[in-house]
Formats: sequence, structure tokens, C-alpha cells
Amino acid sequence: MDRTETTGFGVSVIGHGALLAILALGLFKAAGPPAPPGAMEVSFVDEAGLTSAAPEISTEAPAIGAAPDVGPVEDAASAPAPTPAPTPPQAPVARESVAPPERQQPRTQARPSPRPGTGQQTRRSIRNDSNLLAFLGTDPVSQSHRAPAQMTGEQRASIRSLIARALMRCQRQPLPAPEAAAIRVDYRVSLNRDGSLAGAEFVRVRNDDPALEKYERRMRDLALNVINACTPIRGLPAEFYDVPGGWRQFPYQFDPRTVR
Amino acid sequence: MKSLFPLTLAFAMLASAAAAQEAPAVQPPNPAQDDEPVRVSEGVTSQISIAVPAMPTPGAADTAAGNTEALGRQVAEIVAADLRNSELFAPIGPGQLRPTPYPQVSAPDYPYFSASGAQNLVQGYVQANPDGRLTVGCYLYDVAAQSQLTREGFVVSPRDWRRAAHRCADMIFARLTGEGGYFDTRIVYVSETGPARRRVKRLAIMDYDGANHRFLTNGQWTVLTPRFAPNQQTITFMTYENERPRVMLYEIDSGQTRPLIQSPHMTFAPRYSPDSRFIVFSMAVNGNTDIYRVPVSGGTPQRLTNAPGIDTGGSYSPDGGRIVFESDRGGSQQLYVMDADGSNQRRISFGGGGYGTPVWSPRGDLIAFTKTGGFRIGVMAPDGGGERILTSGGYAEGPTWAPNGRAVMFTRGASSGQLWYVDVASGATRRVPTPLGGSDPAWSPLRN
Amino acid sequence: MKKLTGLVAIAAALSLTAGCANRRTPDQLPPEPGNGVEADADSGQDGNVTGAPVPGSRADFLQTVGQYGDRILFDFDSYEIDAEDRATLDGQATWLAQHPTVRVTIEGHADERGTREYNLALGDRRANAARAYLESRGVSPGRMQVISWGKERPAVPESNEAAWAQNRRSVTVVPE
Repeated sequence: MDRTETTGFGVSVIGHGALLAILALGLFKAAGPPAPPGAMEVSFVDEAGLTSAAPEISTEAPAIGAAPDVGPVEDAASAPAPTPAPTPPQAPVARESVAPPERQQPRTQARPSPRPGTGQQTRRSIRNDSNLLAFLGTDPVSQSHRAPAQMTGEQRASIRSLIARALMRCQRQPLPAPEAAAIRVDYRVSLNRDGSLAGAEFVRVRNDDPALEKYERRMRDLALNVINACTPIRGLPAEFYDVPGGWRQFPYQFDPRTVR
Repeated sequence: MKSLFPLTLAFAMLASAAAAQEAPAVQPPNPAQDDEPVRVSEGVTSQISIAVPAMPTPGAADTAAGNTEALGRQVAEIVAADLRNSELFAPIGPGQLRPTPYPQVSAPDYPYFSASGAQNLVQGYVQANPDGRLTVGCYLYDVAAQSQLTREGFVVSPRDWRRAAHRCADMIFARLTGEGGYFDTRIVYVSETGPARRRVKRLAIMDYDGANHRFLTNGQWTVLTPRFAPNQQTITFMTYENERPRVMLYEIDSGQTRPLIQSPHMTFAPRYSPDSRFIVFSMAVNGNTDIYRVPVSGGTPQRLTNAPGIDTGGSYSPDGGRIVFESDRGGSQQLYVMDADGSNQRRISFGGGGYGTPVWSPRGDLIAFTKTGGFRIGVMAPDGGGERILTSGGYAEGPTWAPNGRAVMFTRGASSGQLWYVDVASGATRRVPTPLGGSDPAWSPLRN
Repeated sequence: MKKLTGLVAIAAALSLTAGCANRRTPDQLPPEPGNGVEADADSGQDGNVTGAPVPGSRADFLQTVGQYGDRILFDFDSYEIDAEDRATLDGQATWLAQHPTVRVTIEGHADERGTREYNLALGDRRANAARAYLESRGVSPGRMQVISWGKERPAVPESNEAAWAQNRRSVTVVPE
């Protein structure tokens, strides 16, 4: 080999060496954040998160089985401020009607809010079918003293359809699952003379399928939700309020399979 | 005397079926192209409306996770996003509502939320504790009934603040649907990048919504099919390290890795038993692949299948009593179920086209699979009935179940993958964001 | 830092060419282009600069069996070896007989249209089919190792029938 070849050969060897050194040092690995399989920084919540760090406020207790008769709400625990409370909370909403036992909200007096809990006043109220009124022979506004001792079957059916139409128009929420439609919930509903809700007493859940049990609680919510959202029902004939079979109190079955 | 009226009040409870479906309908299969008799899933329920205003703080404080005021809004945004992701809710997020003043957290302004159209409401707060941790309170209300449905508080370290939001969303989900949620979960998957001939694949882990993403391997060796142990302390996966393809165990806390078994043969397709004691896996010996199980603590693998052909893809039922797997012993890829000791092997898939990658739902009621004729994700009952195809349009394979059995994540793309998600009831799909490409996702159980 | 490393690497790479300036006619002509190393084989060396491939090397093998003589192709979802495959494998067996110390790795591959784990098993089937045939042609099993790559290493990264056909293969790999 002559000298030029030797020089070239030497440079080539040095160049090879340099490249090999670079590769050996691993500087050409795939780009990106190389995370060596060291300890993963996963920290678990050491408490199972069941610490009820929430402030104590009145809760809803599901009324199972026979609920007390409809009446004023009892044993509503006072609602203190949140535990680290800079300011006391506003008093709960005062409702015009008696709250159902399920809610157990204390009935208080004036609420320091420009908007008292009178959402019901703005709620939809049913407009009577004047033909129906004529049939019933009654004027819903006047206090009639001609209350019949008993309603005829047709009159009962008419009342029933009035109430049903009222409930069909209000908001509804989706079922927790399609198969939950097989669950039915029975309540006993009480109305005041003005058609507003006096109370709702849970009676029972009708469900034969153990696989659907997990949906029962939600279905009770939904039934109660309809009762609350769809009252007051306006325009029901006053003389059929207090009679046997009248609309002061009636059983109500929430059955989602029934299609409108 | 009183007579009870069997007064049944008729009304439609939910605007289902005929009424508004929020999710897009899935296209039915083209009968001209394949002969499967399956029925495409349809959207079934309308969505639950819920207001999610920004959460206040009793006192603004700077924490390692940020200021508690900002956190309150971020927690609400995560809750709204989680509920929206589930396809079952129509949340009204913090951007559309005024923030809740702290005193109203436990005494909501119902008329305001009623006017917003929401039927449910979640309020809460974020508080910095003296020991440096955070407390997140979460309250769920029924707006029409003006009642509180449930509440829960979560104490977390600042780095886990997102988990408190996810657990709040899980609480809401459970209360309003009767099912467990799946938001406080993680995904382990293969992050992909590079040319298709030589994809660079790395194990990666992230929250199910893509946050807190990190790589676990550096891409030097191809890695495939990672799966969580049910107790979430270990990940099992397959690696090509040193060109020896085999199943490995990766301890999450220590980062230590070891082979599952010592063998010259290729091992792959690993899955844990529900009690974390066994791993079922596949081993290829001289061209024949069978399913084995081995105690995680060590020991001799027990052979479960012995048919000529390819048996692979074992997945346990949630009670640990049975294993579903795929086999081509009958001439094409089909699904089979056997007892956990390998006995009583019976075929369950009989539709036209092949079936692979079966995964048993954590609820036990469904098995998800890849329909290899057309490469779509489907579900069927464990006896093989009720087959439904969930996805359409584009190659899909490799499903993994959310822990509540209502959603499935899978890979789109035959060789360059992306992660996608489908809601089982509605068929609604969306892409899961990852920093690079992604494949082989595995969904963790709810974190404890 | 990365930029500097890149410059150094480029300089090092460029310096490799310094040894290539021949001032005299080489003793032998270099081998003809086109018979050389397979494009997707991960070899970085080009063998002996001045002459034929080293006997028993990968380049020698590929030169002997031809550019695609190192592989056989399969039908979709199949691991059957047809007559054409046998002819290819016969050529490999002949070369292996002439170089009895060479150990090979037989790779099995599948195209992308298949689920990931099934394709790992299918690749293993294909590789073992090739290995079994080579064994029947006298190649000692101790010389042959099998590895399945499933669908992870496509030869042609496209999504059409022609590409898929090329990817359903078993490749006999000789060490460099």
C-alpha cells in the first residue's frame, strides 16, 4: 500500500471507531422520553375515599315499607353550615306544599332570597277540558256544596284521565337501563285542595328479577321525580276532592312500559 | 268504605326508542357482503341531563396541584367530561353555568338549575388541608324533587387530584344508573410510532381519559398485548427482547421484570385469573399453539387445550370458573368456552365468518370479540346467543372491557393502530387521545 | 447536545468514505450490483470490499439462492407448502449442506389482516412448516431456530393484495 492508501485507511479506521463509539453509547436510540422500567410513580389514594369529608347536612332516608301517613315533615335534622364554614348556608327552600317524607327537608320560614321557592307557581298547570267540566256538571273554581255522596264510574274515569294527562306532560328522565322498564313502583299520592302535592308515600317496588335489583333505587327516584315535577295539578273539580274515591288521595303506579 | 282504585296512570316514562337518540346509529352489515344473521345494536336510551357548575373553595389556597379555585373548576370539567364520555349523560358544564357560591354547595339554588333545563345537579368543593392533601366534596341532587340523592368526600394527595374528580363522576354514575362507573381507571397499552415495516412499540400507561401518560419501556424491543393484574400491582405482557418472544411480568411498584416461565418456546397471549393467582397463556410448540395456565407464584404450567391447530386468546369469566378462548380446530377461528381446568370444551360461536380475541365482560353477561370477517367488534352472550356487532367502518380488533361492562376499548387499524372506545348499549364510538399511535389496550379495574 | 452528536456522527460517517479512494486498479472486480444484500435485511456491512462474499455468509447465501430464494410465500390463513415453495427450500437445503456449520433462524410472518395473537401462532406454523421441510431434506434440526413475528414485520407496508401476499412468508435468515 502506498502512503495515500495508508492515510485513507487510517482515517477510515478512525471514522469507524468514532461511529461505533457513538452507537455503543446509545445516543441514537429512538427519540422520546426513555422511561427505564424503574418504579412507576403511582400513588393510590390510601383512604378508600369513603371518608365522609362532606359536611353534615340533612339526608334523604329511603322510606322502605310503610311510611308514616302523609303530613308535615318530621324529624328534619337541622342543617348546619359546612364544617369549614366561613358563612352559614342559606336556609333550605321553603315550599308551599308539604314536603314528602322522603325528602325530610326542614320546613322553615322565610328564606333570604329574592326568589322564594315558588317554582311551583310558574309550573305548568293543567287546563281543563271545558267539555269535561260540563259533563261533570261542576265549576272548578266555586266551592260547590252539591258534593255528591258517590262518584259515578264515568266520573271517576274522567278524573283519572285528567290526572293522567297532567302527568304525561311533565319532564321525565331516562331509565337507568332499558331492562329497568320491567320495574314498577307504587306510591300513594295526596293532593291539597288546590291540586298541589300534599305528600307522596312509597308503598312498594314490583320487581321479580334479581338481576334488576340494582335499578330499584333509581326507579323509586324516577317515580318520585314525576310526582314532584308534575304537581300541582290544576283544575280538578273541587266537589270530587273529599268524596270516597276522590282525588285527595289515590294510589299511583309508575310503570315505564306503558307507552304514551 | 274505601275502595282502592287500581288506578294505573299511563304515561311514557322515557323518550326511548322512538324518541331522540343522542348517539349515531350503527350501520347494519351489508348482507351482500357477508351472510351473518346478526342484528346491529341500536341506541336505546336518551341521556340524563345534569348540571355541573364550577366548584367553589372555602378558602383559596395554592397547592402542589394548583390553586384550589382553579381546581374547583377543573374538577367540574373532568366530571362533566367523564359523564359525557359515557354517552349516557348530557351534562351542562361549568362553562354554561354560573359558579356555585360556597354556601350553596349544600343548599342549591334549585330554581336556577331548573331553569337551565337540568334534571340533576352535582355541586362540590375543593379544599386544601393543613397536611397538604386535598379534600373534594361531591353532592348529587335531584332538581325536580329538590332533594339530595347522595354525597361523598374524597381525600387525595395533590398529584391524585384528578382521581377525586373521577370518583365523583363514578359516584354520580352509580347513583343515576344503578351500575358502577369506570372513570377512576387506567389503560395500559402499546404506544406505536415509526415506519410500518418496523414499528417502535412501547408499553405505556395513562388514565382512561389520556391524562398522566407515561411510557414503561423504551421501544428497543417490540412489546405486545399488556394486561393488568386484577389487583393492579403487576402488568403481564409479551416481549421480543433479545429476539426471544415470551410472556413477562412487570411489577408496577418496583419496576422489576421477569419471564413468566422458563421455556425455549414462544409464549404469548397472557391473561390473569380474577383472583390474580393464575395466568392463562398460549405457547407455540413445533407449529402447534395451545393454552396453558400457571400459578403466578411459580410452578409447572398446566396444559388446558390439546387440539391440533391454534388455540389462543384465553380470558376468564369474572367468577374465575370458566375460560373463553379462540380455536381453529374446526377449520376457522371460532370461540370456545371451557372450565378453568380445561375440561368441558364447547364451541359457542356459529355465525358466518370467524371470531377471535374473546374477552369476558366483568359483569359476566357478555363476551366481546373481533369478528374476523370484516374486522369489527361484537358482543355475544356466553352461550353464544344474542350476537351484536358494535362497530362499523374501518378495521377494528382486540377489545377490552371497562370495569362496569358497559363500554369497550379497542384498536383501529390493522398495522398502524389508534385506540377507540365504544359504548355497548348505544354503539356510540369515539377516539381515545394518545400522544402517538396506540394498540392492544387493556382497561384496569376501578382503582382502590 | 443532540445536534452536536449528530454533527459528530455525520463527520464520522463521512470519514468512512476516506478509505474508498483507490488509486490503483483493484485486483478483482467487485461483484455485480443487484445480486447483493436484501434491502430489508438489517445488515450494515457490505462484506469484503475487494471480492466475492465470504463463503457461508448471508451475502453468499443470498447470492446463491437468489434475491427471493430465502423465502417462501403462503396463501391467506394457510401454512401449506406448495411445489414452488419446495423448490425454493431445496435450494436453501443445498446451500446449507455445503456450509454445515451455519446456523439459521427461520422467521414466520403473517399479513396484517388477522388478529394479533392468532397471527403470532400462524407465523409460528409457517416457520415450522419450512423448518420441517428443510429437516426432511437433510438439514439438522439443531441448526435451525424458529421465531414468529406475527404481523409485526411486514415486508411491504401497504394494504393491498400484492403487499399482503409478500408479507405471508417464511424467511430463512443466515447470520452475517
